[in-house]
Amino acid sequence: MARERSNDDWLHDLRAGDATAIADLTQRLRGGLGRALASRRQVDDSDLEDFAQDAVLRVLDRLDRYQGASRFTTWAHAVAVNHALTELRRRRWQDVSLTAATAEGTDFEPADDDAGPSHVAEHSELLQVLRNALDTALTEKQRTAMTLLLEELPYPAVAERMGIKLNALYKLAHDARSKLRDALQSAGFDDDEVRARLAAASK
Amino acid sequence: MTIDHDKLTRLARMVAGTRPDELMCDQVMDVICAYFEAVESGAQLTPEQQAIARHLEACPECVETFHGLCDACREPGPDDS
Ligand SMILES: [Zn+2]
Repeated sequence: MARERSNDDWLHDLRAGDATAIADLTQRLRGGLGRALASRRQVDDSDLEDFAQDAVLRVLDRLDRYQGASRFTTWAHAVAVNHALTELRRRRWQDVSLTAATAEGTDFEPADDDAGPSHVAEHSELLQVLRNALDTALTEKQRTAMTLLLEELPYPAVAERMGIKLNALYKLAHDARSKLRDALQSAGFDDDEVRARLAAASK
Repeated sequence: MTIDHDKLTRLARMVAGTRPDELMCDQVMDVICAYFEAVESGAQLTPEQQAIARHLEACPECVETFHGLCDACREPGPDDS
């Protein structure tokens, strides 16, 4: 079995290229990924092996970024899980057609009336304001980003498709949400009002 | 494309949670390990960690990663591989 190492031991041994430490790390990350992805049917053993191997390389590549704010193994598991989930999301959306998501114009489909007439009316008013703001308050880029994100495309996939850096996309989406929030507030819908109406409509 | 009722509702929820100083996903990933250990140990959350908790309430991707990290860190017995 793998021996217990302190954070410093891990760093020291991995920096030295110690084969036992690398094997121990691989085994740990493989186990962690197995637990983290256990409920996913589309992930098989060979995926887990690949994810674990990739994760070890990433960890070795980023040792300098570990700052001791958590246990080393927690940090390494986070690198592994984040990488595996990013890869799985990418796979999931690889085949989604961009054309459908970026065709011009947005149409608003009214709500079905099964939520109760008064709730629907209040809710629809809110959504109509939001829909108008999407069309008028955002730049073209912001609108494209929000439209793709609303398709539940993950951030890395949207960034790739828009040809921008991930950080730039976070900023773009945050700016867009801020503008939409301003538009809602100008129309009399502050955050509490929005939440109240959403809650009423979901009853 | 069609922005349907469900998407607009989701958007409304995202917009209502928008704050000028909110954490971005990549910032959350930078500090998720310390957050996980604080939650795990029941420690008092720092203001930054409270911001992470708010982000996790609103961000499906980060919460998925956080749950994955929780599962991964559930260390098995020494002979369990
Ligand atoms: Zn996030």
